[in-house]
Amino acid sequence: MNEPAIIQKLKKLQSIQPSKEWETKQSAVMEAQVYNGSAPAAKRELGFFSNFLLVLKATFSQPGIMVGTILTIIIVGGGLTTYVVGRQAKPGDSLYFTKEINDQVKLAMRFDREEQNKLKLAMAQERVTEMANLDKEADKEKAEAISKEFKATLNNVKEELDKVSKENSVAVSVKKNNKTTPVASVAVSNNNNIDKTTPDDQGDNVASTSSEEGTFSVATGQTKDGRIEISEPVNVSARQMIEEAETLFANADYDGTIDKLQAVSELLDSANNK
Amino acid sequence: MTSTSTSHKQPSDRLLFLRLKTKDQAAFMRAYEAHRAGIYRFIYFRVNSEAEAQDLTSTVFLKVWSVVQAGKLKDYRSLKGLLYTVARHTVIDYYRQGQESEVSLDDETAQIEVIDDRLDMQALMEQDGDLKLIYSALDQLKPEYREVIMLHFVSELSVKEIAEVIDKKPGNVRVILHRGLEALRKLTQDEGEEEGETEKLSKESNN
Repeated sequence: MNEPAIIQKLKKLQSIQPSKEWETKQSAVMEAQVYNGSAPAAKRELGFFSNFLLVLKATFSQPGIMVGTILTIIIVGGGLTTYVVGRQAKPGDSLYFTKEINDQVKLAMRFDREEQNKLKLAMAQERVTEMANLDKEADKEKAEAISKEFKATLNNVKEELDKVSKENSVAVSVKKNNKTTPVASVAVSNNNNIDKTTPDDQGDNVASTSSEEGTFSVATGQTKDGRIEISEPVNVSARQMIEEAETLFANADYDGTIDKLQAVSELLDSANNK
Repeated sequence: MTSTSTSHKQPSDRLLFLRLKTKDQAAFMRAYEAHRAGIYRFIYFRVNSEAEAQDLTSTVFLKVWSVVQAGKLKDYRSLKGLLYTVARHTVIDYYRQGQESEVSLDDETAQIEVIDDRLDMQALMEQDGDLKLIYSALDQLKPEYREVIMLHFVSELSVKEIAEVIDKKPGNVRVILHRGLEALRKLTQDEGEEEGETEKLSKESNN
C-alpha cells in the first residue's frame, strides 16, 4: 500500500464518533458544571465587536508584534518629523541634508531634461527666498552657503542648456522653403514679457531676430518626422537670462532674481510645449 | 438545562482560545461541542474501550475547565494544543494508575476484549480489509510514531500543534511523522504479502 492510500485509510478512522445519547447527556452535565447552576443569562453570545477587540489585544500583546509596531512607529514617525523639519532647514542647518536628499529624489523622478531644468530653477528660487529672509549680518556662514548653493544650481542648469544646444540640431526656419515646418515662435523681451505667436499669426515664416527694443525672437520647428526641436536661440536667451539673474542676486535684488528665474522657467516651458 | 446551540457559525479555535483566557463559559461550551468527538476519538484509540473513552473525555474537559478557571492558559499556545495535551496526560495518568493495561492487537485474548467493546471499529474493519491491515500495522509501530500519525491524520492537528502536545520541536515532529509513515508503509506491504501467500497456500491445499 502506498503512502496516499495509507493516509486515506487513516482518515477513515475519523468516522469513529461517540454515541449521540452519550453526547446529549454529557453536554447537559458539562453545562451544569461550567455554569454552576447559574441562569442562562450567563450564556452570553460572542459579539463581533468584543471579538475584534480581543483579537486586536491578543495580536498586539505578542512581544514580537509589539516590538515591531513600536519600531515601525519610531521609524515612520522619525522619518516624517525629519522630513517636515528638513523642509524648513536652511543651508548650514544640521537637517539641511534631508532637504538636499529630497531635492535629489525629486530630480531623479524627472526623466525629461527640460523638467529637470525647471525644477532646478525652482530650487534656485527657493534659495533666493531663503536668502531674502536671512539676517545676513548674523548668519554670514548660512548666507555664504545659500549663495554657493544658488550658484551651483544655476551653473548646473547652464551646463545642461549648453549640452542641449550641442546635441540638438538647430531648427531655425528663416525662409519659406526651409525643410522644417514652423509651428510657433516665442519672443522674450527685456522686461521679461513672453510673446507667443502661432504659425497662423505669422504666415509661413518664423524669424529669429533681434528688435531695436532688444526683443529676442526664437523659434521652434517641426521636422518631417514630426519631432519638435527647440531652436538654439531659446537656450541662448535662457542662458543670458540666468546670468542676469545671477547679477541681480549678487546685487541683492531678490525680487528681480525670482522674476528673472520665473521668466526663464516659462521660456523653457513654452518652448517645450511647442 | 439545554445544550448549547451549534446551528450558527462556529467561531475559530483562535478566537475561542482568546475568549477562554477571559474565562468565558460560552466559549468553553463552544470548544467542548467542537472538540468533544475529536478528543473522544483520540482517547478511544488509546484505551480500546468505548466506556473508558467516554469517562476520560469528560474528565479531560473538566480538567480543561479547571485550567481555564485557574487562569493557567498562558502555558498553552492553541486550543487544540491545550485540549490534546490534557487528553494525553489524562490517558498517561489512567495507565499509571493501573486501571487498565494497554492492549495489543496481537494478543489473542486481548483481541477478543477489544472487538467486544469496540463495535464501531469492528464494523468499520469488516467493511474495509485494508483498514484492518493498517490498524494492525499501527499497533506494531513504535508508540512515538503511532501517536504522531494519529494526531496528524486522525485528529488533524498541525505539526506545530503536535509539537506543543508532545513537547517537541516542529522539526522533530516532521521527522517522526515521515519515519512513522515509512515504517507503516513497510509494515502494510509485508503484511499484505504475507496475507497473499497465506491465501495462495490455502487455495493450493484446497485444490
